[in-house]
Amino acid sequence: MAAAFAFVARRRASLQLIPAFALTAGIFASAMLLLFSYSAYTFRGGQLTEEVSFLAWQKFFTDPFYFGVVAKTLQLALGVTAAALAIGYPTAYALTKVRSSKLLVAAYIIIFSPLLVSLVVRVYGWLLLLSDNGVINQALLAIGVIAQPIRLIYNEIGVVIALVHILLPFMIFPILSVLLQFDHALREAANDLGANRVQAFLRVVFPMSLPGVVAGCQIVFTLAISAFVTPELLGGGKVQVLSRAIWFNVVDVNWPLAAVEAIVLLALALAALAVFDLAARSLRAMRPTGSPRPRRDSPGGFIDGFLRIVLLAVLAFVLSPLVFVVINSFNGSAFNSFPPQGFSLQWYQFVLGYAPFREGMVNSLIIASASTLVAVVAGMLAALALTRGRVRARGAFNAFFLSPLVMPRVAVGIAVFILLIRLRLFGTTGSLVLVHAMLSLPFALVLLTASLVNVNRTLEEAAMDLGAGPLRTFWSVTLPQIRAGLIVAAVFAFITSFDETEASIFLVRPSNTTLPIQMFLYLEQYQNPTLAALSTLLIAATIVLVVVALRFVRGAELARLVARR
Amino acid sequence: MSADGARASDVIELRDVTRSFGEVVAVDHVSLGIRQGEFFALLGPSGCGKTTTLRVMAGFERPSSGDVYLRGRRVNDVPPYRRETNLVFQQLALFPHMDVYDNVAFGLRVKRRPAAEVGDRVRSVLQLVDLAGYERRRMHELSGGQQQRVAIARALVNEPAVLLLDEPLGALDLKLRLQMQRELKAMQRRSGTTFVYVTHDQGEALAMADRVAVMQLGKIAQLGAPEHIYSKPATRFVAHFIGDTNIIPVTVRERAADGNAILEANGLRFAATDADARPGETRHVSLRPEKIRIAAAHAARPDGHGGTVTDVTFLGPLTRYEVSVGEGVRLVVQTQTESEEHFRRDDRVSLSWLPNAPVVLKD
Repeated sequence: MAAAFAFVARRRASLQLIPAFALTAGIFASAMLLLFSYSAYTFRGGQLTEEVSFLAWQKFFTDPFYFGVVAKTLQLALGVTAAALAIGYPTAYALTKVRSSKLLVAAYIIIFSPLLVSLVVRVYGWLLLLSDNGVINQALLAIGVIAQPIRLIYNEIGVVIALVHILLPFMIFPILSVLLQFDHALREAANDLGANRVQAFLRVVFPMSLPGVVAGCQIVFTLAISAFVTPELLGGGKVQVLSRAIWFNVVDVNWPLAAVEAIVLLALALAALAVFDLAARSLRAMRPTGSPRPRRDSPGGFIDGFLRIVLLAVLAFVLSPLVFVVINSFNGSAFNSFPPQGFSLQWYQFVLGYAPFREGMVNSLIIASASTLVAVVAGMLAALALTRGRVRARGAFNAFFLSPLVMPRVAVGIAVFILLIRLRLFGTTGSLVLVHAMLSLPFALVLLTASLVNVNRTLEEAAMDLGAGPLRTFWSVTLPQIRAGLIVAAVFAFITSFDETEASIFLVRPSNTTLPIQMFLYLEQYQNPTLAALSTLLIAATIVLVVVALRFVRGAELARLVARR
Repeated sequence: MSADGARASDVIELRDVTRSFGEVVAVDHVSLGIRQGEFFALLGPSGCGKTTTLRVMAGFERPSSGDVYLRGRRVNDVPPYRRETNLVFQQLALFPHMDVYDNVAFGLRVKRRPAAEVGDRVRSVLQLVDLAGYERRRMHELSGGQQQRVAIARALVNEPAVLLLDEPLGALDLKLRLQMQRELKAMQRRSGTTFVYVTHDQGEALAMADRVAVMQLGKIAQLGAPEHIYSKPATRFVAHFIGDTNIIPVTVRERAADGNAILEANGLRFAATDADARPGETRHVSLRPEKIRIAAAHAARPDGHGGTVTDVTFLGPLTRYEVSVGEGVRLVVQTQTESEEHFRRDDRVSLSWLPNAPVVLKD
């Protein structure tokens, strides 16, 4: 007995790493390795054989069609990144000028709210706004600017708009955090040396915020090249990107070609990461001298007025799809017509009675709850080991656990799909729970590690000195101190699972299809306000979830997360 | 002084300047003129308004009332980037994304000076601050003292009418600070530029400045040459803030035939020259510890005040005594350790000073 305890004590850190390692290595790493081996199998005459050949690679690199697909994928991602930067930078800059802390918190919540709303709901909102009989076209027709509806969806415009909307927070956040740490003495120094506001911005503020710009572009570009749901639903078959090619090849059972495409997508993502990393490294020499002295600069007339308008426009842009989803849910018409024709609750009635949605909801809740539990427990143990244990190759473990974040979800989906087929676990609810837990683990790990680093170790020592054992100490001293991080991690994990579409679409069977996938399938077939009603219910549920979570994460802790100035 | 302009010899002049932030009055009706080529120090404890005064001169703060004149021109509405002043920031505010050369060239480039002129001027100012050869260094590759000199060069290269310095030596350790003080003074002499130097360190101000303004609660408590402020402090605050002193509450008894005032404090009676005090008034006197002579009681001079040593502190070259005289007046006395007689606790001694040693304060 004593020997067993001693063993556990000595090996504690290693034992704590096991669950996270099992998730990431067992599902993610083995699936990715399997993906490589499948790219060398042969698909001939509509049949998949295990004959080793490089036919799939050959086809991909010789058929001009695939060259066009890669080019389109990169072009779309570049366009989205450029547009997100053009909107995101002024928005972040405007946010640094907001003086009222209440307004600031409201703006933060609005800008980051899309992250909490299901991807399919957001895409649906853009369908409502951009379609021929949607809000924008009807409004323009009504005031006579145009005689006929202009095409805003089923082409690249709609895809870019929706992707910018979805990815904007990832651009704004890194830029904002750099700008908030900016030492305003530097701006004053530039003014003092003769630079006016514009010159000071161009020569000092902007160059110094470049690390944030690079980080934002890196995230947005990487996510944009692998987007699937948005180009699929809003592109109308005309925006042919890699993720869609993968999906079609999987449906055609041409797994080798799908594997090649997934590997190429992965390579593109890694190449983009590397390029942006190089750019970031060349900017690293910008360490400020002395401690930064954040100060809000004096109010200025014209430019600040302009920034205020930009901020309001962006807030409207971010909120509008969600607002129109809610409005449309009460539409009396069976088409998503605008303005709504009459008030009706029929769509709510329909949603509640529609079996696929009801079953999807139950499946999603079960899977999200279970995977949250798994991800938070595995993440907590790994975070404890990595922050406190004597772990060799700490950095390597951390990078390994975070690696699923970098991989395009569609590539993860196809890889795990093949793995589950091989293991004869395909379509089981348990497999979905574990896959979702693997995808949520990085968020849980990052948030819990950040919380654990801030724990006051002296309090733990005091508890142990007073006779509490390790478990008792963790429960009654450590846990209360990391409560905020724990709740945020759980919310993140739950939302990640509940919203997961792009990998899960490869992994579900009709019997255990999750809600977002039911919505995705419904949206591919029907166009009526049913989804608006469902989306409104989901938005309401999300608000309740966030409000309840915020109840537990009180004042000071939240203020530290939000108002970091 | 003419009615519409500033005094011709003043480079920068504040006339009745007030700057308040909401309820807080940081600068309270301050008037002062700074002369061409002088090293001027604004001295005071933190929160006394000295930095705000400097920022008013630089153009970062607008006066709530009153006027700022630069070379005879009213500049209240001129933004910092159009003023011929340059500021050396407390935290230096060097641009971390630029090297030494680009930092120093910044002001000239913004003003679109030709590249050849920029090169010449940057090189010569780097020579002046002893940084020739460091052009391509990044800011984090420089020592604290070198960063200091870059900040000064970056300001000086613009040939400002006034160079404003906001406690630029505050972050340095003592030894480097003393060295930089000498260098700053030398740079000021070599460049002939007017310096306005903000500091809370009285030693720094006394060592470098031609004139010092001591500030308290947003007002100028006293303005003058360092020697004058030291030997003739105007108020209790100034006397305390500049050097060590004994403050003694006194009552003015009479004016003697020689013009001296005769003062009395708890059983002590002594004369003071130059006092504009009327008999019957109660005032305070500043008496510097090193102006008091201490002797054994048996060797007492006729004007000596008998007392008892209550404390002795050895300070190396100096020795500091606390002596109780009269009816419980405690005086600090400082002597040269080497050249003067030594005493111990409870020794009976006699203290004496010249009539010009006690300074009768305004308050």
